[in-house]
Amino acid sequence: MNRNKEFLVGAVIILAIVVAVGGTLLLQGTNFGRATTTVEVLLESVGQLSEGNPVTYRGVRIGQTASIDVEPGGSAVRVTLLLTEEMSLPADAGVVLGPESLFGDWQAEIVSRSRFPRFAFFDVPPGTRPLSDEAVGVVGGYALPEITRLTASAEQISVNLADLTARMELAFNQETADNLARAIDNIEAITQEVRSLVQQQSIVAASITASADSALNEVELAAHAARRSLDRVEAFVENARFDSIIDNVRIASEGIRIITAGLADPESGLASTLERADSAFVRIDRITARLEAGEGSLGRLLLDTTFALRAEEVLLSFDLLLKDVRENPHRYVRLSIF
Amino acid sequence: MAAITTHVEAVGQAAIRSVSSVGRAGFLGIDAVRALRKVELWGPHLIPQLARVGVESVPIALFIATFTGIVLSLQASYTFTGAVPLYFVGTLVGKTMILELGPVLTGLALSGRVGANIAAEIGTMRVTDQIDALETLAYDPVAYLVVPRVLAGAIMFPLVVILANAIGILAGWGASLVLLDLSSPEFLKGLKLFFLPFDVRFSFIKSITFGVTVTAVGCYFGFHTRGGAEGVGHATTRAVVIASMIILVLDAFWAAVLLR
Repeated sequence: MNRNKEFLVGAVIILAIVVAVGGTLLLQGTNFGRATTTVEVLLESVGQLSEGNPVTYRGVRIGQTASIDVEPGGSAVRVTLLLTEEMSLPADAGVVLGPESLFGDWQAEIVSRSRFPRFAFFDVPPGTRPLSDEAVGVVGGYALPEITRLTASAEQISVNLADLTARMELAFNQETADNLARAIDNIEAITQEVRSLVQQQSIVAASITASADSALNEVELAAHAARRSLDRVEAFVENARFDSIIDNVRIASEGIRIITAGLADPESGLASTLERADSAFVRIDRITARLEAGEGSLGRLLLDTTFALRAEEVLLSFDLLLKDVRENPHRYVRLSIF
Repeated sequence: MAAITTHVEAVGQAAIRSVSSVGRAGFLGIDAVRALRKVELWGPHLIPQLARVGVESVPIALFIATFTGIVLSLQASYTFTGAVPLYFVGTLVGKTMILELGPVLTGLALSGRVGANIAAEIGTMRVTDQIDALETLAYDPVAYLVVPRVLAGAIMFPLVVILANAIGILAGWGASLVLLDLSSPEFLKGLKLFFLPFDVRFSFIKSITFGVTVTAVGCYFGFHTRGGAEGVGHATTRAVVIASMIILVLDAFWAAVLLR
């Protein structure tokens, strides 16, 4: 009976110890007898990471956080990761500490630094050796900002936004809005005025264009008429009939003067008439003499044919000018609103 | 005036009784520590007491733990629905069983079973003058009766609590698989998520103090039983009540001391 009790007591004790030790090791994630890898990580801060938190690689849980210690001098924090598998780290391995979920539990994730170029991984001095002989190396780590820091940053941003909004509200008050509305009205009025001015200018321009066109036509007609006249004058001058006409006029004048002298005596009434006729003929004679002497424009025309040629050249140039004006009116008529 | 005097006297008597009880408990504790040297007296009785206090308490402890684990998982699932991932059922079952319900419920249950048993046994010995007989025979009754029981409580209580914790977690796991839409990996993930070895140490420390409390209170009230069979019943009741109260006070004490 007593041995039975002893056996039962011993069995309960052994069972309880096995359960306690085995359960603790199991829940701790201890891998019984399998090869492990130890990695040491240096960081500026570990955030909410604590011993026992999981270690992941490519999303797979491969170990746990074994220890967290502040370096002598407080320059960094050294975290020891115990990996449950024998594995080799990436060449540019780094460790990112961050929340595993929204419920506060953190994890250490082994990553390739090239995947996170913006993370400020801790710069491990060259030649840094792990404290533990079992550790395969020392890598730099980076702890993501805690949610409380993000919340504080968000709060600061909201405060700044509120300040900015208040300033905007102060600067953009009712008076500013009224001024802006007035300015918009003014702009609208100016636009309408400009539009009206443009319309007027276009009407004027159209009128000017029409007038210029009409004037050009008239000038062209006048030029043609002048040319025809000059042609006639030239023809008249060239065929020498003019000289004979003048000679005939002189002869006729001489004959008339003789007749008049004959008529002066018997008839005094007729005498005055003849005197006037004589005076007229004298004038004609004087004119004729001046024409023959080459005085005046007509005389110069009669004596100098180059004058007529130049006049023809001028008319020709004028004709070309009219043609060019008609083809390229913008060279000579320029409209500008402003 | 006489009524006032009577009430004042009652308050004074209660105070004196309380202080006397504390004093007697202190003396009993000191005697028990001194009696630890008398291994020849308590040694032969330790194994039977270990069996009575520990082994025979395992079934009731496991029974309580089983249903506690089941209820915990179901209530956690009910609470977490739609808001918290279901794998946190494992977290809650594990943490709650190890830190709180395992030790406390086991302690309360064993205070009724073991504390009452000890108080009744020793109280009966007291009222039947068996303890006086031991003294007459030059046996140290504290070494003979108290030390093996208190040691048995200190040794076996943590073990029973460990088993109760394990069974409670297993029961919660089973309930999660059978009654909830939760897989074993998810439950284990939640169970491991916030597990710390310190949790087991904390549970162990609490259990030791609970075991000492239950057995020591039972011994005390048994040792100071007066008034025959009625006194034995009264002592038994008080032993259970006082032990339960002290367990709850210690529970808060250890939480305040070790979890802050």
